[in-house]
Order: sequence, then C-alpha cells, then structure tokens
Amino acid sequence: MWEDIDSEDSFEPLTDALIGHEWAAGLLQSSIDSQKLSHAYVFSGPAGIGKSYLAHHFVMALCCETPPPRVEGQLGFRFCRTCRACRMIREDKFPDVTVVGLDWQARMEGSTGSSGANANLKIDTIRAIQLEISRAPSEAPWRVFIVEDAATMQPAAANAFLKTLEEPPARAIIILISDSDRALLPTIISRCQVFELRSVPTAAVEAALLERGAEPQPARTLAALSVGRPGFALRAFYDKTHQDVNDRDEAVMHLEDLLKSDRAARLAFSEELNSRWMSQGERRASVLTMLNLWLGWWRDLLLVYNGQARYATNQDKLDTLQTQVDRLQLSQIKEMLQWLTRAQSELDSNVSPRLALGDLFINHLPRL
Amino acid sequence: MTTDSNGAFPGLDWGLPIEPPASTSTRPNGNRSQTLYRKWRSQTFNELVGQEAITRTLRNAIASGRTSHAYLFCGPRGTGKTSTGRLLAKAVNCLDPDPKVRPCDKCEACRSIAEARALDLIEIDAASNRGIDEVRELRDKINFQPSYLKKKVYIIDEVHMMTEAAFNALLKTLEEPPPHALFILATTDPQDIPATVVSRCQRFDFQRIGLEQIVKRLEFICGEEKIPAQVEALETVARQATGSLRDALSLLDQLIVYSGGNITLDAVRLMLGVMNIEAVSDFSEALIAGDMPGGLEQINRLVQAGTDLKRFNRDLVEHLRALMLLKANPSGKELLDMTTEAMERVQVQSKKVELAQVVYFLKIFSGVDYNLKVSPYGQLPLEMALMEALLPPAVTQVQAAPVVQAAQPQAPRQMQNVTPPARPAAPPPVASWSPVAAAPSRPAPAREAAPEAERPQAQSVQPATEAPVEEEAGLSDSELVELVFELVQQSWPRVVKSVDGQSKMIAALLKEARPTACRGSNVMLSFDYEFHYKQFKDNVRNRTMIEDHFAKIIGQKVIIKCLFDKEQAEGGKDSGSSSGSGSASSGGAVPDDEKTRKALELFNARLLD
Repeated sequence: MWEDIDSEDSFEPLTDALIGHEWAAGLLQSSIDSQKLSHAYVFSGPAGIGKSYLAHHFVMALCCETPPPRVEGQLGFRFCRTCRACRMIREDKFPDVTVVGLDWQARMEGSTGSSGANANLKIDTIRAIQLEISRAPSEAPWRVFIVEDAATMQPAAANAFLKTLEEPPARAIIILISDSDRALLPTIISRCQVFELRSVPTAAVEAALLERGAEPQPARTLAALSVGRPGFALRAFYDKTHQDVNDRDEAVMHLEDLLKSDRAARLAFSEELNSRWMSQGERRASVLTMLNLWLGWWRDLLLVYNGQARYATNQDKLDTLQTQVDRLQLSQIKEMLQWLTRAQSELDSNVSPRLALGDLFINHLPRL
Repeated sequence: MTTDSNGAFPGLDWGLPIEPPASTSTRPNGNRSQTLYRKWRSQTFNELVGQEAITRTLRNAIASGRTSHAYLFCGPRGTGKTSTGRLLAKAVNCLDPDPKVRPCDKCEACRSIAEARALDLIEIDAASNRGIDEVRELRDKINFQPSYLKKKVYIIDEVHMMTEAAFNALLKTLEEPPPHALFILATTDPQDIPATVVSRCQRFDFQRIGLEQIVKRLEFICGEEKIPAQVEALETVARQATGSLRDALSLLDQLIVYSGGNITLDAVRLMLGVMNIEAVSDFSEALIAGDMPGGLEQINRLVQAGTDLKRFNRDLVEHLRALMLLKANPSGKELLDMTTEAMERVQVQSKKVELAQVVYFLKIFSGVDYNLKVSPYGQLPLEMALMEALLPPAVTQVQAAPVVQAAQPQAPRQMQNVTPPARPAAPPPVASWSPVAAAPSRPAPAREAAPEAERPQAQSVQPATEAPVEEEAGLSDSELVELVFELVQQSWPRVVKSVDGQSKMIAALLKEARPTACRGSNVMLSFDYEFHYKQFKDNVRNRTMIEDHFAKIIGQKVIIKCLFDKEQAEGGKDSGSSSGSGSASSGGAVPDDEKTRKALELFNARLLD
C-alpha cells in the first residue's frame, strides 16, 4: 500500500542511525555476544519502519573487526564504523554480505530485458542464492544474505527456499525482510527467528527529527503523520518539496469539498480519480495514497469523537477535525471507515475504480 | 549431478544433490551453536514428541519387518515429519540385532545417518528440484544397490511442490521400486499431491503437538542445556507455538539470548510483547462496559508503549474464549491451563456479561488478526473492531428476559428521544407506537409501555453502567436519524432471513408482515391477521428480536411498532401527527381469550429459551 521506501536509501544511508527498535537491537547484539546466532531471521513490519536499517546494523555488528567494548546497561548494536568491514558494508561492497532483492535479481538476469516486469523474487533467484550460499565467507566470519522483498516470493520460490532456510551451510546467515509476515509461508516463519518490528513511539521519531535539525513544530507534525514509521518521517523531512505533507493537505481539502458537495460533484470527482487510476504508475499510486490518507483522517475523527485527540495522526488539523466531528455521528464515522477499507481492498482486487469509488462517494460518504 | 540447461543463471548447477542434512549430533564447531531445533532433533523414537500413534505403528512395522516401500508423512509445520523420516531411515538400516529397539542410535549405520554422512540416505528438496528431469535422474540412479547401508532411503521433502509431470514420472517407480529402496515423502500440504501418488504410499497424518508435551520437551531441553527456566514461562512459549515444536524451540532460542540464560515469565512477556493479563482483561472490561473512549485510549497507549498488537489481539481472543467457555459451562474443565490470576479476572467479568455478547465479541475480534497484518495504520483494525463491537449492541437483548418494572424509570427518556415534540413524558407510560388513535380501554397497560422499555430492559440485566455509556457512544444520536423508508423496505427480506437463522417460528410469523411506514427510527409493521399481529404486539421479546436483527442489518437502532391491517385504514391519517398516545389494541385487537394468549406466550417462551 505504501510505496516501498525501504530500498530508497537516497535520503540517508541504511547504515546511519537506527531509530527505535532498541529491543530488537539489544536482542540481536546479545545473541552475537553469546554466540547464539540463528541461521535465519525474518524482520517484518510495515514499509518505512526500519527493517533494512536494522538488518544492515546487525550485519555491521556481526562483521565489525574492532567492535567497541561492551558498556553495561547500554542497549543496541556495537560496531566501529571505521574498520574496513564497516566501511565496505556502508558502501555496499563487502564481499560476504549480499543484499538480494528485485534489483539484484534484475542484475543477475542481466540482458534478458524482462527485468522491469518482474515484481516477484523468482525460483531461479532462490536457486542462485542456494548456490552462492554454499561458498564459505572470504573475509568475515559470516556469509550473510539479506533478502529484501521476501514477501514477493511466490509459493514456488518460497518452497524452494525451505530446505536451505532450515539447514543452511555452516557460517551462513539469511535475513528475510518482509513488509508483512502474512505473505510468508508459515513453514518459512517457523524456520526463522522472527522480529516483528513494532511502531516506533511518536516521541522517538520526533526526537530523531529534531536531532536532524527539524523545527519543533514540523517535527511534531511529521512524527504524528508517520504513525510510527521513521522511514516515512525521514523521507518527508529530507524531501524539500514536502510532497507527503502536501499530499495530506490535498487529500483533506478534497475530502472537505466532497463532504459539502452534491452527487454531481461527487461523481465528477470519482471520474477524475478513475482517470488517474487508469493512467497507471504514479498517478494510480496517488489514488491509493489519497484513500490511505482519508482512512487516517476518519480514524482521527473517531479518536476526536471519543475525546482521544492526543493520539490523532493529523495533529496540526485538530480544529478542522473538531468542526467535522460536531456534525458527524459515530455510526457515520464507523461506516466510512469500513467502506474506505472495503474500497481499498476492492481496488486491490481489480474492481473497477468507477464502481468502487462511485459507490463510496454516492452511497456512503455522508453529506455535511 | 545434472547440469542446468535452462536456468537464468549460467553456470548454475543444482542437479539432484544429496543435500546432506546438517550434522545433528556433532557439537558446534566454529563460533555458532546450532539452533535448538536442529540440535535436538529426535534421534530415537522415544524422543519423538507427540506422535504416539505414528511411532507405535512404525515401531511395530520395524519389529515385524513389514515396512512398506513408500510412506507419506503429512501434517503442519514443526510436528516431526522430517525427523520421523530420518528415524525411519535409521530404523530400517540399524544393525542392532533386536528389531524392537531399532533405531539404536549407536551402531555405525545410525551414527552415519545422524551425522549426515550416509551416502544411502538421499534427502531431496523437492521444492527446488521439482521438475521431471530430476525425477528421471532419480529413476536412473535408484536401480543401483546401496553402497553401504542395507537400504537406500529417499526422503523427498516438501513434496507438494513437485510439478504434475514430475509426480507422474515418479508413479511407476513409487509403485514398484527395487527391493532395496524406500521412499519417504514429507509435506505440509497433502491436498496438493495427486491421489495416484497418495494411494501408492502409506499415509501418516501428523497431529499438532499438545501443549503439555511441548512444555515437557522444552523442560527436558532446558535441563540438558543447563538453563534454568520457569514452567509458566515455558508454557507461554508453548502456547505461542500453536502445536509446532520447531516454533517453540525457535522461540526458546531467542528467549535464551534475550533473558541471558535465565528464563522467567517476565522475560517471555517482554520479548513476546505479551502484555500482562491486566492489559487484556482491562480492555475486555472496557468492552463489556461499552466504554469506547476508554478502549480507544487503551489501544493507543499500548501502541505508544510498543506492544505487539497482533499478540494483544490473540491474547484478547483467548481471554474472551475463556469467558465464553466459562459462561457456557461454569463447571467445565476446559480452562484448567489458565493461571489462577487470569482465572479470577475471567470469573469476575463473567458475572457482568451475557454469553451471546461474548460470542459476538469473539466473532468480531477473531477476524482482526488478518487485518492487523495488512493495515497501513497499525492499530486501526483493532479500533474498528472495538467500534463494531460496541456500536450496534445487538444480540444481547435476545437473551435478556424482559423485566418490565425495572425498565419503567428509563422509559420516559427514551420516549423523548424518539418523538421529541408533542408529548410530555407522562409518568403513566401511555405511549403506544401504533399510529392508531384513541381507544383508551387498554387491557394490559404494562405491556403497552413495553416498546419504549425494551432497550432498558435488556440493559437492566447487565451492569448498570452500560446504559449511560451507550448513550455516549452515540446511540441516542443515531436514534434521531430519520430512517429512509426505501432502505427499510429493501432490507426487510434480509431481516426476515436473519431472524430465520435464530427462530424459524418468528420468521414464519414475519412472512405475514411488511413494513409500511417509518418515522424517525420507528418502523411500522403491518400485519394481515390478528393472530400474527398479537404475537408481536403483545410480546416484547419477539419485537426485540426483530429490532436486533434490523439493527444488525441496517446498522441503526430501530423501534418496531405493530399495526393490524384492519386498523391501518383508520389509523393511517393519524400516523403523520405524533399524537400516537393511545392504545393500539382497539376493539378486535384486544385478546379476548386470556388463556390462549398466555398459552401462546408460554409456547413462545419455551421455543425461545
């Protein structure tokens, strides 16, 4: 649903500071210290929560040649950032750490030309991993595979991975990174140590933004908007065009207009969204983004209605929320949340957007 | 080894390698200790956990020398399929003179298999070698005698991933393999295997492993590994594993690291993000009390504290389930595995809640798990479930016996809500919702008050707190919403159908009724026959049932008013004005035969209860 922003490391290298997830970091570091590593891990959580960050930090801690000594009471990974291994991992050049993902697959397939169309990790890629993994590490004590986009494996590929995941060669470690563990087979999950990354507390995201030089007010807004996904907050912060905040403002504006307007206007808007959807690519994604933002908005309405405004996502728009709440009934909010969710899943499963959105606007969106 | 000819990666070679099972008994070399589930793979039938029926059968087969040539092991993950396969391979090759103790795990054959150096144990990963070429290769090689052991054992793991063609190519070999060959197919998805393959094998279905047995095994392993562990902690781990020993051992592994070698209940909870029972039972408390703001706040507090909502929800469902079991069978033994503290909380709550309500909650919250995984707003599905559970507070009223007296004080307020104008909330609750005018001679005044009183009646059975909370939750607001008549009409067949699910009799009666008008949230039902009319007019319970089903289907609270057709003609004029005060039961509607009426009621009551 959210565009994959894990692989976009343009805003901050994956090896920079890790925001939140101290519990996971602590657990992994102590498994390094006590030499009780598993051979397979799953890091899962919504996009932007920091799975790849965690994986890269873990790998650096694994491979660092001169880790700083342990300090009692200090959680988190220990690595120096300056040794050869750390530097090479940072530059993504370390021979014993392979990041497998859709890019890697496309590179390996080379000139076949079909790379653009592939949205899944294929069984041949898994076989290639099986082959690669049997080679002993050359520098580091470990041969590590970070498998991005593990959730895109189709059943055939996933099954092909099972035996390797269960009993890989000695000194190999596989880290699967997945948007959600729903897409992974239970048989895969059961072979791995699973780290389901949880939402990072809003305060931690806010602090991280402040640390990077954000003004207090936008930091607060962004942190709330990110719903516990530091990746989102960071991207929005580094993106000088403020795309995400603008998206939000636009979505809210449209919603306000729609609430007031009559059927004709609503149909017209649904038609516009329909054309956006049909034109694919980014414009299609913008429809999904809008629905998501609306979902967040109605959730805020629910929270405000029940006097829980402090947990709302759109902290900077509490006034607007309050005005709308005064004119809404709880049953309407509930229904809108349900219908929005439904419209999303309908769009996901290829229902005509004209029907899904038209239904939403004409039959369900209350008129204020 | 075959060479790959069509792979996308040139030079890649993955023929039919004998992927050696990583050594299971050698102690770790290098700087990694092996994960527990590999280290503690069962090495003898005695160690195999939780599959007594299967081990007994196999042992007897070994003892009597009647092993089949092909076995199919199916069952959920982590129940011991691959382990049993290797055990069987050991057993048929074991050199111990007494067949009853095979596999002995001491002889050379057993050791070589355990240490994964037996050339004649061929473990095939069917998921990555799934084509017809691999099967042909297998067919070519199977005719060679075993090199060292007595039998050549093929363990084909994840066999469900083989292609159709591969399966078919295997059929003849599988049916009549050379005498020295033994096939063991293992899979988690037996339904994907062609019937022709299944019928050539002896099939064994592995069961999920019981909680107790997992705990025992965990205890044993902790003892061997010299790790102190609390039994409760291991129980929590075992419960989390849902019958899969490998899951349990993976968790235990993680836990050993996490807790620094001393496994306590607190450590388990911290690591799993399992809240203490308090959080769950507090939430369930809010649920029962209908406290939506409180519930929402709890959810968001949990999120801020970084709790794992999926686990929270799972625990919540478990808690509600306990509540349900306790309600359904107070003396039942199903709950024995709960801790006393949790038990106490469940018992307290069970006094405040109706069984139907718990079932309703369970239905809603047990569906949340999937949504929690896919939603972009982590907690939203849970919040929506909370709202759904509390908004149309359906179901409960059905169970509640009408207690007219208790409801009296509530009645006036309800009346005001429904028809604000024109009517003083007069203490003698003379409101009849039928639009029929006048006819003050009413046979059963208490009954007349019933329509307004229904809701409160139901609530009076529950804790007193619920009524006001529901008001906050917006019920009173939604009662003011004008119902759209078309909507009512459209949903009527569905309402009847839904009632049908609960009581055939009422549904049959309803077939003679139809909604003819609605005003505010009042829906008028017209009846053609007096008998049917009276069934609803005089019986609060029946009306409540319709209202509940209505509420469920159109998502709004409605109030049913009954109307006998004959009267509609005269009453229709009045229906517009709100001067509805007066009895519906003019003239003919008065039940003249009190006995019959009572008998019918009695009949109803029996039916419903």
